[in-house]
Amino acid sequence: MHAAFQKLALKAFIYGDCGNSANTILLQNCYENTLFVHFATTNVESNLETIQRLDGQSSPCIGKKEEVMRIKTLKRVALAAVAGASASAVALSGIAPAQAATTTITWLSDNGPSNIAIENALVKAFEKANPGIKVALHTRPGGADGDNLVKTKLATNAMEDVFNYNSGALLAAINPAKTLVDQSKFSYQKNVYDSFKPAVSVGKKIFGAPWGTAMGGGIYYNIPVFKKAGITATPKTWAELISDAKALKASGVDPICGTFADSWTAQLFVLADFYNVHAANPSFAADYTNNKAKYSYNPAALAGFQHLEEAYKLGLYNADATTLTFPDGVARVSSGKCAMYPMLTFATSGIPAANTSEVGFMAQPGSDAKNVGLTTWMPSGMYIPKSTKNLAAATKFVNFIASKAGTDAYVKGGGYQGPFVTKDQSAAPTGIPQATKDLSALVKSGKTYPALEFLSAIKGPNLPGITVQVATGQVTAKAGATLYDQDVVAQAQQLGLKGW
Amino acid sequence: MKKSKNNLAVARLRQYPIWFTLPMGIIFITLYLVPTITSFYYSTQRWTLFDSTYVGFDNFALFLRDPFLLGGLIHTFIYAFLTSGLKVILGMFFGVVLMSNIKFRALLRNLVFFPVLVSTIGVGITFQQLLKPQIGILDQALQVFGIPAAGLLGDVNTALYAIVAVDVWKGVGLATVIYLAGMAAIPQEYYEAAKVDGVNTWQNFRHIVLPLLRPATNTVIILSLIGGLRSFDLIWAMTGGGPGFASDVLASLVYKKYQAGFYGLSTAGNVVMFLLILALIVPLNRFLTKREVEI
Repeated sequence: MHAAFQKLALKAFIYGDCGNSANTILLQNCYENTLFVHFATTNVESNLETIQRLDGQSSPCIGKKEEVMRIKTLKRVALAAVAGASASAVALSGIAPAQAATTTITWLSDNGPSNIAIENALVKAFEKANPGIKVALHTRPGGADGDNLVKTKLATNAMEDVFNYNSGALLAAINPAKTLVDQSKFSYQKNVYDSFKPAVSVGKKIFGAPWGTAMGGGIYYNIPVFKKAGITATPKTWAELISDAKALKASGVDPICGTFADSWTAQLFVLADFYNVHAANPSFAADYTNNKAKYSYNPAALAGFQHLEEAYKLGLYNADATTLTFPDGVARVSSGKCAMYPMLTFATSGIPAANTSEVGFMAQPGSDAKNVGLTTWMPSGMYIPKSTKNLAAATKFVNFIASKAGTDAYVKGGGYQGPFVTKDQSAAPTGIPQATKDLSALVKSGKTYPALEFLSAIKGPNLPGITVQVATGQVTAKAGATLYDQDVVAQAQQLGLKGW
Repeated sequence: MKKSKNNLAVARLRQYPIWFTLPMGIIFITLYLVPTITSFYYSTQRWTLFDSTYVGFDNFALFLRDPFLLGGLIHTFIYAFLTSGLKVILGMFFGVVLMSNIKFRALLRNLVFFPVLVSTIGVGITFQQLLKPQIGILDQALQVFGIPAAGLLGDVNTALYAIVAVDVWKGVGLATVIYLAGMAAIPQEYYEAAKVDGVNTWQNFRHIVLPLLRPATNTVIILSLIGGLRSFDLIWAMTGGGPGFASDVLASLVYKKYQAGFYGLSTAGNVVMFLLILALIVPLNRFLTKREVEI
């Protein structure tokens, strides 16, 4: 039983795409977990060491033999692409003298196994459409390690020709105005939804194309368990959610799954409440950045912290909440041991195939039953560093990624986890999980708003810990919000924002 | 004439040429001394990999205003003094037991020392799993004593003490070895003289072993106190400072600031930690060595 559980957790984690998420804190913690997974899967450690020795690129996100093999093959292919570049140039010159030279561009991307499948599909499709250009894929680990690698490469002008990296608050830390090429005049811009652009912009300059699908922050729920407790529709207000939770508790399940050993998971009630915060205070994001609005005394913003407190006081969390981790939470809401799990939709890939039709996804309700909307997380960005020597080819690649053909390749690589943020985009494949269908419906309804971290560069590093404190009754909601307000000061000062 | 005599004395004092220390000296200077000194400079900057601005003592002010600093300090002191005290008591106990003529002495000595050799992160993750509620074997065993449902590491009141217990389990072997060495250094004559005077075992321990073990005790106290004050790896592996901030110590607070990209702020935190440990250990060391007895 235990072994099976571990395996499941491991799988859920590995395929959880830590490299593909846009959430700063999430990523950092994701990486720490990877370390744990890495440690736990000692049987593949020797393989990992081999591959690390082979290419000097550590890859803690990989935990399976076949994945290791896949990367080895990939490396070989990449090498062959470089080595064969001149040969193919000769071959081409025989047929079509106009395309005498082949350019090879390098691309730095995530090393998660599911990411690599997508990346390969992209490279293949792009090379087919642009015979004169080859793409050599380089991979990097996610989390804090990846952050530091990206920062170092940019600082030393050693960055690949294109690279994908987080959008939103984390982007500000790599100093885009100084290090990245302005893409606002690129032809793909007219295909991108305006809602994405602020997440990759500084001032009027747009630095990135969307890479991946949009995510939502909300609540996963187990449909059979809801039915068994006599709940027919998803709650439309927070008060309804609480009364549903009480009914669920009476029916013998844990109403809300807490997985606070991964403290980042505790943030969801606060972060995913931003649609409701914005509905009540349309200028909150700007005021917040300018040091004029605070979580502790803005009632709508405080509500997220109060949700955590209320769930604790009513005993709605599982008793072992403080020792569970993210994969445990996905496993529990999938099996129906827990009724609800507040999370970002990238967790969908961790739901076992047998349960994908039983787990639904809803937006986090606020106080207005008529205005239930989804807080969204933007895809990562595809960036070009100023240090590139192949700007023309890199531009073509970025244009391709943000085109219909690019999204087609993305879907082909198995990456569809929700809608893209481009106007002309690939259709959803058939047989997708219920949670992904729910996410698409929510996005289509138009009632969406980006999470605060895509509108403001300020995100305090201690929010995970503070939300755990509130959710375990160590401090009150008000005190927790006050602590967080103090916590963001360092971030604002580090970024050199005015008025802090 | 006098001068050459002096030189001779110095030469005799220095048995080896000074350049023998050069290789270690270079390592010490480049990897310890230089970073320590430059950290004072960087603590006055707000820096990233790209640039830096001078901010005076702003970083220190911000670090000292941190709402979690007080809690972290309290946890650090609890952790340091508790682990240090327990290591002294248990280390001495094991030392005395393993010095006596018991069966399997060599085996037992090895067993006590074994945890010292294991990687701290490995120990932390192992115990984290052992203490997992419902699943962990240690948790199930402890259920008999009525521990919290969330497990020792999941409960805010017990998390820090659970880590202390693991730290002592891991570190007591080193203390034991220091005590064993200390006891081996006590000349037999003392015991023989005491035997003639007809002392019992307790008097033997109280008036011979205990005072003559003082250098060993001092070493254990200083080592374990410094270790405890800057302890980080075990705590990070077991709870990450959680739940919430319930087991956060000074070092984990500093680390979190580095992780968040506040390099200047975390450097300032390190400087504060350095000064704090210095301010505590130097007088303590003076005080302890003053009370040592010559054998």
